[in-house]
Amino acid sequence: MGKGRPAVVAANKVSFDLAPGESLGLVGESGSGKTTVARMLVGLETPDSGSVEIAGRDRALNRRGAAGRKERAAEIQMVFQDPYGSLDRRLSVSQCLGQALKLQSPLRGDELQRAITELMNSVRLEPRLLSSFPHQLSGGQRQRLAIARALASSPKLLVLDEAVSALDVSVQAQILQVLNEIRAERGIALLFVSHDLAVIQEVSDKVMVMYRGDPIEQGIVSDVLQNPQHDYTKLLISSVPGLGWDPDEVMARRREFDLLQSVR
Amino acid sequence: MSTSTTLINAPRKRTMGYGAAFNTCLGFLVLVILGAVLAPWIAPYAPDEIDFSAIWTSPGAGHLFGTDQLGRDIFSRVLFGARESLIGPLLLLALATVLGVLIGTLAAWHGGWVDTLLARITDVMFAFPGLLFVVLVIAVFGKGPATAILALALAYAPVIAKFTRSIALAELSRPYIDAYRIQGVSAPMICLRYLIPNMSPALLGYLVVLFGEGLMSLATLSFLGFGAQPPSSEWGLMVQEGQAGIIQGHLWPTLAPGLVIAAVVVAVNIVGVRLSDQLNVKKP
Repeated sequence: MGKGRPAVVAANKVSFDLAPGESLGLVGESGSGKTTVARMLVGLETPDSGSVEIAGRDRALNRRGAAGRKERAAEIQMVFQDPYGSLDRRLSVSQCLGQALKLQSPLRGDELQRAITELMNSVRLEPRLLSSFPHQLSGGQRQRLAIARALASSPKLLVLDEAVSALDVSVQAQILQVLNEIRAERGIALLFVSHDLAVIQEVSDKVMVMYRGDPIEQGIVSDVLQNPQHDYTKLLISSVPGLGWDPDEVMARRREFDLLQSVR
Repeated sequence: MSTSTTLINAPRKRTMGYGAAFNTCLGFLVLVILGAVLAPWIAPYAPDEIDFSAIWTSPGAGHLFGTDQLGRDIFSRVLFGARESLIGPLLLLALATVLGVLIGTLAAWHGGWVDTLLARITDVMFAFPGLLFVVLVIAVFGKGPATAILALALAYAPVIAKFTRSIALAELSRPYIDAYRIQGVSAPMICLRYLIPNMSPALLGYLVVLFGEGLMSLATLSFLGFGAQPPSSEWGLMVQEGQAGIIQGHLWPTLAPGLVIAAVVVAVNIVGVRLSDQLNVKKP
């Protein structure tokens, strides 16, 4: 935290279980700390205090050395919100995937080509795109490439930080389908960070709702969405545009909620 | 009223159409470089060929740009001088770029105290007049072309470091860098293999513009007697040596190298600005 600014606790006592092939949705509004949780998980950010434990092992420590980094990469990978920005614009599809694969195992020649093709198949990227560069791909293709790259190290957990938020709805559906397939075939656990309840409902088994850094509700997606216990969860669900939806009413409830929170 | 519509304001796609100024300048630079490379074959005289029967000759058929106080052919001297005058700034920029990119990348990547420390050092270098700094270095290490290049490289490094730092910060904020980190690529590897190549188009455009400045600075040092030494025909030195003739009305020994310096610097700047515009256009 910068000097002179009050410290903000971005994430506090967040804890969850994820079995292989399971999917957890992390929801909350902007600034609720969900992205911070995701970035701490993959090691892009270090908690000021406390620890990040995965399978009982402390992950907050920045692991040095090639072996440590490699091991970590094989545990968790991440897919980012901005598909173009998350790809190196100088690398073609095959270079991008080849680079990621070679970090994990010394593949070369035909073996490498086969592994690249396999990755592309698993995210349904057409083989003809092999030598395309990111600027030649569509948004959906870029995001599929980013997912394929993340899969190159065969991670156990894939963190998706608003991974479909920048895509239009039809493309979103394709990506979500690809993710569901990957989950079923590879048994990878997914952590889906999103503000979009509809997306969470589509891909997640469990959901965790975060508000100002605190996890406030956790459970099976259908339970939480149909029978929310916490006021904030209710508010979040009612904020989703739909039939008989009144923005003024949502705003009013929001103000009421914030007022209550500040008094508390 | 006409039925056809002319799209006056339709954006013109800039692919190869750089304009006449760019083409002229590029052509001129190619000519100068060719002249430098082919000097031994195309120069009518040797650069140090003294001819006391032809002192202070006016430009004409025998001597295209005339001769100087020793009867040396100015045109041949300008051709040969192009070598030292063009290679000097190149070496200077190469040295300054290695230093500057290293410092700038380190500052951007590490942030925190490293960034602050490097920013202070570069600030001090900025606050200190460049030429004064160079003269100081020369006072310590002695005059000569090598010292001049080294000193100017040290003076230019902070400028390049500042520029590198700013584009590196923009580049580092892009998530592909995070993606490399998550993949387990080491920090030096990310910088060397991915970050610097991604910055290179922007850097290159900037360096071309700096080349003109470097050429001018080196010529200035030679003019002051700190850089190239006689009998070299480095352009700055030629301007200085020709000075004696001005009073006697012999302008060409000064004018010819001076004009060439000016023309090359202007041409490099025009080409450089266009080039950096072109290189910095981000593909959608």
